[in-house]
Amino acid sequence: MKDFNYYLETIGEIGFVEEVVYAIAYVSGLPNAHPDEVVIFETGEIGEVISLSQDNVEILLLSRNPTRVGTKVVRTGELFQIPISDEMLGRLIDPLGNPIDGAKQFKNVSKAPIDMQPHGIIGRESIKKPFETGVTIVDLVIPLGKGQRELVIGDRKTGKTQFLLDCLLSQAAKGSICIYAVIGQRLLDIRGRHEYLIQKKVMDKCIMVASSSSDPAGLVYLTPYVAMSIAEHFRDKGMDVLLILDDMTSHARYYREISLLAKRFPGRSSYPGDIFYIHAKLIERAGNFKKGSITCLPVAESIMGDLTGYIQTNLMAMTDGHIFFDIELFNQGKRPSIHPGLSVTRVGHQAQTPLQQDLSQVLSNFLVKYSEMQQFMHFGAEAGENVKRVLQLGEKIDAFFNQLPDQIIPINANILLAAGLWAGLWNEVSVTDIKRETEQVILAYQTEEAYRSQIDSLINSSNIFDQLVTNIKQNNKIIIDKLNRSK
Amino acid sequence: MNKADIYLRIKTQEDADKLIEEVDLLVSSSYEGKGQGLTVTLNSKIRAWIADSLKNDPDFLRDPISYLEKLKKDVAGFDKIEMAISYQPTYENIERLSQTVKRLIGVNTLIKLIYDPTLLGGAVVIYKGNYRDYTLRKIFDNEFSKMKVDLFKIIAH
Repeated sequence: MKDFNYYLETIGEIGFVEEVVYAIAYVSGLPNAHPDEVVIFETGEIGEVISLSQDNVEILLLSRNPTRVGTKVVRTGELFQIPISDEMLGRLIDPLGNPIDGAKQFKNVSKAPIDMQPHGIIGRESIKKPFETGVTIVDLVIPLGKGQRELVIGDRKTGKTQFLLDCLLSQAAKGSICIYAVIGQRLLDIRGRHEYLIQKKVMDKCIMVASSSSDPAGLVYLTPYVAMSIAEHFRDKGMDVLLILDDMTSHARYYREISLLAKRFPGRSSYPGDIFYIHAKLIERAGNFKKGSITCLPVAESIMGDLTGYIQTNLMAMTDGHIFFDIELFNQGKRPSIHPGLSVTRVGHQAQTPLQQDLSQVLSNFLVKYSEMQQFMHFGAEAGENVKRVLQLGEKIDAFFNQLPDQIIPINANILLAAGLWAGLWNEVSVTDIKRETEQVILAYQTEEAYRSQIDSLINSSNIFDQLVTNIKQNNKIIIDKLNRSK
Repeated sequence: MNKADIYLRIKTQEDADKLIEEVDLLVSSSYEGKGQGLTVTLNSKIRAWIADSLKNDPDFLRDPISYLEKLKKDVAGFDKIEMAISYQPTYENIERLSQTVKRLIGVNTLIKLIYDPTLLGGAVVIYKGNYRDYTLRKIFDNEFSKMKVDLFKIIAH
C-alpha cells in the first residue's frame, strides 16, 4: 500500500477527523468514499469505512495508536486486502498480515481481499474424505469429514483448546495446512500456543493469526476474515486446510461493541441485527471444493453448559454439527469431556467406510443404553446380569475414550481396540489396567510397520463391525501378544 | 439591511466564529435585565453594523430569539473552502477572494485561509472533501523527481 501523499495526489479527496469514539472515527469530507474502502490517516495508520451518512464517513480504526480530532484522512479506492504469502507458513501474524513473532518480514506477497463472497455451488463437492482428529471419541462416534464446518462448543476450561490443538497436531502430521485464528485472547495465551506448536514441531505446517484483547476492536473483528482469506489461498492451490476460529463468541462481542458505538440499533442481547449474516457469510466460505478443502472448526463458549444462547444457536444453525464439551463430564474427570449424546455430526458419517459407519452406530447405541442403565442404577435398583454386563463394558469404554492431551491415536488403532473390547479381551482386566494395555497396542501400531500392515489389512477385510469382532475373537493373539501381561 | 446582508459580509471562518459568539451573547443576554438585556447588549457589546442590521430587520424585532437561533444555525452550516497560500493575505486579498468565491459558488460560502510559506506560490484548495494542489512546490517536486537521477549524476561528477 502506498503512502498518504500518494493517495492525496492521485484520488484528490481529503477528510478530517471530527470525532473519535473508541474504535470509530467520524470523518468529514471524502465525498466518494464507499463501504469497506480502506482509508489512510496522515499519521500512517489505516482504517476501514463501515458506513456513510449525509455529513460523515464512519471509519473503523485499525490502529493501535490513538487518533486525534483534526487528523487528515485520504481514501485509497481499494477494498481491505491483506498480504498473503507461502512464507507465512510457520509464522505468527497479526490481522494486518504483519509478523509478530519477531522474525523477518515477508517478501513475495500477493494481495487478497478479506471479505469475499462464499464460493458458489458449482465449485463445491459433498464431503467425501474423512477428517481424522486423533481423538478417539470424535473419530469413532462423532466423525468429521474434510470440508466440514463443525462447531466446538463448551464452557470455559473444559478442554476445547486442547482438543483443537490435538486436531491441529493430527492434521499437520497428515500434511494439511493448519490455520489457527486466535480472536481477542490474552497475549500470554497466544504466546503459549505458539510455543506449544513450535515445541511439537508442527509450526512449519501452521499459520497463527492472532489478535489480543489489547488490540483495537477493529483488528480483533477482522481476525477470522483474514484467517479465512489465508485458508482460501492454500485451498486454491488444491490443499486441504484446517481452519480453527477461536472463538466466535468473542468475535460477536467485539462486533457488538463496534456496532453499538456506531449507533446501530441493538437487537437480541444487544447484538446487531446482522450478526447472523456476518458469521454465516464467513463460515459459508469453508467447505469441500473441487480443488482443495477448508475444514472449519469455529469455537463457541457456552455459559453454565447452556447451549441455547443467541450466538451459540446461530453458530449451530450455520455449521454441520457441533461437539459439546460438558462441564459435568469434565468435573467427573473425563478427558476429553465431550458429551456424545449432545454432540452432532451431520455429514461426517458419509466420509466413513462401511465398517466405521457400523462401529459408530454400535457405539452410539451402546452409549445410549449405558447412559440409561446408569440412570436406572441411581434408583438403587438391583442389577441383573445383563445390566451388570452393560455397566462393566460402559466403564471400560469410558476408560478407552479417556485420552491424554497431545495423544494422537490413529483411527485403525481405535477400531482395533474397540473391536477388542467388544470381543471381550479386557473382560477380566480392571479399568485402571485397560488404559495401560491399550496404550501398548497403540504404541505397537504406531512403531511396528509389519504390525500396522497386519492390522490395516484385517480392518480393510471387514465390512461390518461384527465381522471384525469375530475375526479378533478367533485370532485374539493379534492384540494379546502386544500386551505385557504377567503369565 | 437584513439577514442576506449579514451573510454577504461574513467572509472567513473567523468572521463566522465571531458572529456566532455575538449571537450567543445576544441570546444569553435576552434573559437578563428584566427583558432589557438584549437591547443593552445590542447597543453596547455587538459590532455596530450587525446591531444596525438586526435593528432594521422586522423579523428580528418580531421574534428575536428564533431569529438569532436561525441565524446561528445558518452560519454554522455554511460551506467552507479552505485555501493554503504561501503569503500572509492582506484585507484586500481576503475581500477579493471572498467576493469571487461568493460569486462563483454562492453567498453562503466561507473561506478559510492557511498561511504556509513552504508552498512557494499558488494554492492548495480543499472544498467539500476535494483536494487540489496548484502550488509551485508540487510543480518543482514533479520536475525534481523527473530530473533527480540526472542531477545526482551531475553532482557525483
